[in-house]
Amino acid sequence: MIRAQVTPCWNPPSAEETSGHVTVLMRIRLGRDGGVTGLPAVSRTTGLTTVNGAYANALAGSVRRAILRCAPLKLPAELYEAWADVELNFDPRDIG
Amino acid sequence: MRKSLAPAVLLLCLMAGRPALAEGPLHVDITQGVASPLLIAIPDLLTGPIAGVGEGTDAGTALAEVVRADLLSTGLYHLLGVEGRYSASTETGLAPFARAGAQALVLGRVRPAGNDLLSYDCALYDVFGARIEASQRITVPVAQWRRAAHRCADLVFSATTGDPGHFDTRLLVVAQKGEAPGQAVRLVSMDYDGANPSDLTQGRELVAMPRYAPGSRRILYLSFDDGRAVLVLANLDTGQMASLKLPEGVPSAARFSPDGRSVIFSLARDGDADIYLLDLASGTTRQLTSAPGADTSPCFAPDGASIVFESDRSGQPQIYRMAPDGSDQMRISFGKGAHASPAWSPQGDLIAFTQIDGDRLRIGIMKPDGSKERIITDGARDEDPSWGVSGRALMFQRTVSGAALPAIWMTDLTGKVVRRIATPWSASEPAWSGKRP
Amino acid sequence: MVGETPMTRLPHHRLWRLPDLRLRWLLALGLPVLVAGCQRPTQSLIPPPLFDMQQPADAGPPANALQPAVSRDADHPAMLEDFETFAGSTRILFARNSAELDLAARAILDRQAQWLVLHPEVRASLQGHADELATREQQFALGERRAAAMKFYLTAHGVAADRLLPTSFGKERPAATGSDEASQSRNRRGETVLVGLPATPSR
Repeated sequence: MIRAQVTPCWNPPSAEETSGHVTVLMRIRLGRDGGVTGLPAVSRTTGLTTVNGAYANALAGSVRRAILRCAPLKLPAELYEAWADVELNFDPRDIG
Repeated sequence: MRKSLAPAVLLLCLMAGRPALAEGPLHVDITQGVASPLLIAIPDLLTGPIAGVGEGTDAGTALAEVVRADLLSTGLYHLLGVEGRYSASTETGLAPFARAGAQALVLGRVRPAGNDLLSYDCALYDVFGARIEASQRITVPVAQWRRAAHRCADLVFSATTGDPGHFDTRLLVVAQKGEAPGQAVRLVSMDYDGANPSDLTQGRELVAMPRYAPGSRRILYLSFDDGRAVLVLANLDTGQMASLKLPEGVPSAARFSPDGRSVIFSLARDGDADIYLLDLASGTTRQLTSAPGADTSPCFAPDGASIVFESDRSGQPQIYRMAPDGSDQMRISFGKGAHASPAWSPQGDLIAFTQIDGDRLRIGIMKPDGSKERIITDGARDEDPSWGVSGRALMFQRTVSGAALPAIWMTDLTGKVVRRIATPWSASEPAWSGKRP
Repeated sequence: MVGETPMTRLPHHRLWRLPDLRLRWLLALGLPVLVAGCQRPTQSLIPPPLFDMQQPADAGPPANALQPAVSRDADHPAMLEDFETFAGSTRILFARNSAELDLAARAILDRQAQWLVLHPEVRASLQGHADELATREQQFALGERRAAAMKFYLTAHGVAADRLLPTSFGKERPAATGSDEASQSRNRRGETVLVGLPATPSR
């Protein structure tokens, strides 16, 4: 459900050969209304090389925008405790 | 939490594809997105007129127009029309932009900075995060106000794509200002969008095949002074020029090495053209290929570790790759038709080329091993691809079917965003600079 | 502006149609005078610098007289006329993507060789051109191949190799720019352009 809602909001920068395979892990806390409380923070980035720092930054920016753009997420209120704390791993591997 | 364990497990399976009974955050993998243009708003700046900026318009409008045109030309952004004027200093809140759907917002302020200077504070906002993603104070001479806008667009481009912008750049072209082909031919330098053209030669002799050096302060071109082809090296800062001393033969297709210290070119003699490397400091040349037929159009990889070139040794022109000393020559182009004029992208990930298929010339791109070939233009005669520093756009020469005189066009790598660079005369053989010094 | 001075007319714009043979007689009789009076104008190889990355250059052409752009043959219209009349043409044509000399080309080159042998003080620029139907670099190499074929043929017919200056214009100076075959076939050509007589007749 979260994936289905976030995917259409994610507009990652197009990767090039030198961009490598970067993933961004973002941890967010959601309010009961599905809104993001506080600013989403990058908790881990993988695949960084000496040449793709700018791409990784742009990717992280696109991730931040995707989360904020999609909020509030529509999730079942009775399960709030399950989704109050979410870790989203953005991995552009399937992007054409 | 325990009391609703069963539905929670079900939900977690739905969300993450794996049971997550452990404590800690819910983990979700997002591996797909939407490759759609970024929705961006670039309202006019809240600024009064500045003498010398724009023509009959307010400076804030003139600058915003250039920034908008730059970003729009890449196909990576979708502009949201915004009424009214905004200034970075008057924070009215980002909510109206968010409601309009904008993901990004470019605000700024421009003002005179004394001594004929102009100062432009350009800021890119993340609308949803309500934060400044990138900002820069750009100060330029008032006469170069368009450069300030191009640099703001470069800032936005690099912050949102991770690649350097190609807007604050120049373009060398061979302009034909006379009536007949080959008459009144001049080397002209202009902004990448065609503004601010400036003649570099006076039209006394035919010129061809211009190229920028890394750093964009020096250029190379072929001059046909006195009926003979001569390679000319010119320094754009000092105006100094020199014709390069080369072994006997007809030189052509010269380019700089990535370190700017050497020039690689084709030298034809007695019907055989081969690739040579000239060391500029010592003046020594070294022959890199010796196959019979025409070896030409050499181009270094940006890391200097390989050279691509075209050769007709197989019967028709195809693209080959070799080590910088000329060893390990191997053909890499195997797609339909002939392949020529290879140009390595600044990031090193792609090679642009001209495909020859019957009487048609078209621009294509492929990976450096020749795989994933894609023809991206569809004109009658498209040739001379030249990369922008972003690695996401190419300039090329297009001769529209039926029209006699060519013009310069620009395309993105999908070939879907194509536009003509406006020049008041016919122009050909584009060479796109890197970042302007 | 450049195009208005006859000095810069391109070789394929032949406008020197002399009405009678008087000039040819003059040429024959007065060659030493002509030679003495026709030193090649001195000009810098390279135009004065006009470089400026920052500001547009002044509009308008420079006021000084423009020098010949490519060939010096217009300095000697009579000699050019004589050469062309004798050889039948200063231009030969090639087939597409070919540097082979066909019968018609050989017939013209035979006559050009004879004339050049008779005028040992003259040097000739052999200029290979190509059609617009392939890339710039390829056509540049093809133009050189054509010029080399002309040089090979002329030297085989008695012209000293050091008097022949093969060069290529590729597709940089087309004779015709139409996309039709008739136009493009005119571009597949080799031109023999007489270049400046030596300042002192030394040969």
